[in-house]
Amino acid sequence: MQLEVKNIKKSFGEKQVLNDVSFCSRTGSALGLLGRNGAGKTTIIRVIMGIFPPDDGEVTIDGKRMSLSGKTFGYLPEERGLYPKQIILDQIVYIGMLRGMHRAEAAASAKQWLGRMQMSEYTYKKLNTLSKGNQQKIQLAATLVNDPDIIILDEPFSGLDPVNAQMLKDIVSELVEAGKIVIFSSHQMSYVEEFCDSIAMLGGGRIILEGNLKAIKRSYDRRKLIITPDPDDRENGIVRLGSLFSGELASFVKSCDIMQDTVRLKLKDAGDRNRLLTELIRLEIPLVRFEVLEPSLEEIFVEKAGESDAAV
Amino acid sequence: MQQFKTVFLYEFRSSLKNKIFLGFTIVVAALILLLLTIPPVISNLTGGDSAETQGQNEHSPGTDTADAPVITVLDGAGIIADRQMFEQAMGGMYAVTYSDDITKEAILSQIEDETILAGVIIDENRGVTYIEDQFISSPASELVKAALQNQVLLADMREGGMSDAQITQAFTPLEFTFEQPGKSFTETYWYTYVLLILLYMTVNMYGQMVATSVVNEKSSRAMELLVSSAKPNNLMFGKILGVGLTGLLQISIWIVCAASGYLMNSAFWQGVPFVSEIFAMPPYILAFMILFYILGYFAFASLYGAVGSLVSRVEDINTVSLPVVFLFMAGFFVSIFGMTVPDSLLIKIFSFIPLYTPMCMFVRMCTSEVAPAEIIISIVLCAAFTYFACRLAARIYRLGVLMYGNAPKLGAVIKMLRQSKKY
Repeated sequence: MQLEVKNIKKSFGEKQVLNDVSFCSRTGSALGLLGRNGAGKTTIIRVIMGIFPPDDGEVTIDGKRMSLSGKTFGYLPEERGLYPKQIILDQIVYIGMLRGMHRAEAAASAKQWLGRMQMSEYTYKKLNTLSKGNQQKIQLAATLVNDPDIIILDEPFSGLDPVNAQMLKDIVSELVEAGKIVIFSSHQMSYVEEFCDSIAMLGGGRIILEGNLKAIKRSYDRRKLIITPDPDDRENGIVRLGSLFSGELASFVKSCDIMQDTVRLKLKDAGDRNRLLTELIRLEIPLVRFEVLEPSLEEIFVEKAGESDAAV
Repeated sequence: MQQFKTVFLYEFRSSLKNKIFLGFTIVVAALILLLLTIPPVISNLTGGDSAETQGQNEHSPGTDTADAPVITVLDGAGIIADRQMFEQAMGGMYAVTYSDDITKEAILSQIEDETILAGVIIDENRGVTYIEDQFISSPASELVKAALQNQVLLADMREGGMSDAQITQAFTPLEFTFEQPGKSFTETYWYTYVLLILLYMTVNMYGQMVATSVVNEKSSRAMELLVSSAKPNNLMFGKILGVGLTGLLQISIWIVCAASGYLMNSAFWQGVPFVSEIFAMPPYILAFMILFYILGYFAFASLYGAVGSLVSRVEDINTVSLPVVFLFMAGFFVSIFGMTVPDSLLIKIFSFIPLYTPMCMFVRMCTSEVAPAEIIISIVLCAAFTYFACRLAARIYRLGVLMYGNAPKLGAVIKMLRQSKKY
């Protein structure tokens, strides 16, 4: 199954919120939807969910225009909320039934998810008696109750303690393995890097970066290096490196950060990597590590989102 | 359809479980039962038929005028031939004393001392001077004037040779019955009034309940999950119907309580005119009341639902629902006015305005003869309006997801509706 978002445009009044947004997500993979606050993430999610229509463009599943029945969706909104004064089981069953399940089926599924999230003891309690983190888990159970094919999680980790976060990670991994399409919107880049094979980054209502995460990282020129000399020979190692990068080898270096035992280096030209290594060997620096650093998603995000802001 | 049923049943159950609603229903039902049961019980305990007891009480002040204000009379012309009849004409409210030589000054000073209420001096030429510390006229002066007139008449009749029997017959009041063509105002007034108030109260109350329910979904942010799980039309119609049926159930409980309270004590209540009139209403009126409740409720509940979608905090409901409340109150006041003048043009026009049909047409039906065609036309108009109002409310409800923060102005809402039209 393949979910495709094609050339979506959406404006509210004078404000163009989405401008020609396209991306694609496939079964058994998670897509990270990134963007700064106000970049249009929630709007595109709402368009995908059919909460309101795009001005132009379409959302298709396997090439067919998507139906609005909501049967195959599970949505965890960023603004969480259910009925605070109602019994937890009742509301999860209600959401399941709204998405087309029978009562008994919905109740069984709700109980199973509550068990999976170690929330069984709260089955017949009212929602407002729970802590924020536990309410979050109830919300997740409501999201998944109808065994949806497409799961959209908006900031799913906010408010969860490390143990619950690990539980959620496990659940998301299972969902991806079970062949679901997972769209994952978050500002916590480490989670996105952990789950998502591909990303779509929004900036100012446009897609500013989209594709396979590994390919994106590889596409960045590899100018950042980590060099660690032998820590037992500081005189010939870290001390000498410091003087070399500010003297003899300064022509290679754009910026240099000398730490306790390592040097973080940014080259002027990525093509100089091998020449620099040759030089260091020639100068008989006792090396234990010479590594090319891939940019982290966070760095890519800061750079791209910053660029898009500057362009606006 | 399945989705609609799910929403409807969920809302119906939720409002049934609502403790405030439950408490209110029970308290009012208990009050109705108590009000209809306690007076007959008290009357039984104090003994005897209530009507008789009341009758005796009414008569008792007439025989005992010891504490009644005194009117002193100087009858210089000998007009008062029958003192007993003259005193009876005071209706037991005033005591009469007679004097042969009291002066105007003496009367004034006694009035000032508050030993007497008033003084009457009749000179030889039948000229009457009435003195009381009142401006122009008073109940006592009117009574005295009429009683003196009767005394003059009585004296003349006796002088003319009429027998006492003839005189008594002449003074016996006529049996005077007032009849009105068509529906009688007195017969319809009380039940129309009670049903109108019930209609006004319930439609408004449940309408507000719909608005509150929508706002609660917004403020608890459950709405985002709901609109992504179900069609807004189903959510809105299901909610309106769920709350509405709860209301109907509540009214039915009250009506059953009232009817059983009345029937259990019917012997007592049949002697109390306005209560027996309420329960003597024709059954078809009750059926129409239910029909008009349903129509009125749907029309107003959809408006309340729409305004509820515009705000995100429960505190803001009052502000945005004010226009709806005013609209509603206008209809109520016209209906109240129409109860006394059911043929006025104003209520005729209002009875065809869909929002006002439930109240105004209902009042017209209760208090006058309305052609069936008029009733049908007004109901069809109202039903059509209600259908479109509900659909509009559902659209505003969906747009409401976007509206957090301050309530938007009417112009902004219309603009948003236009933009979302093609959807």
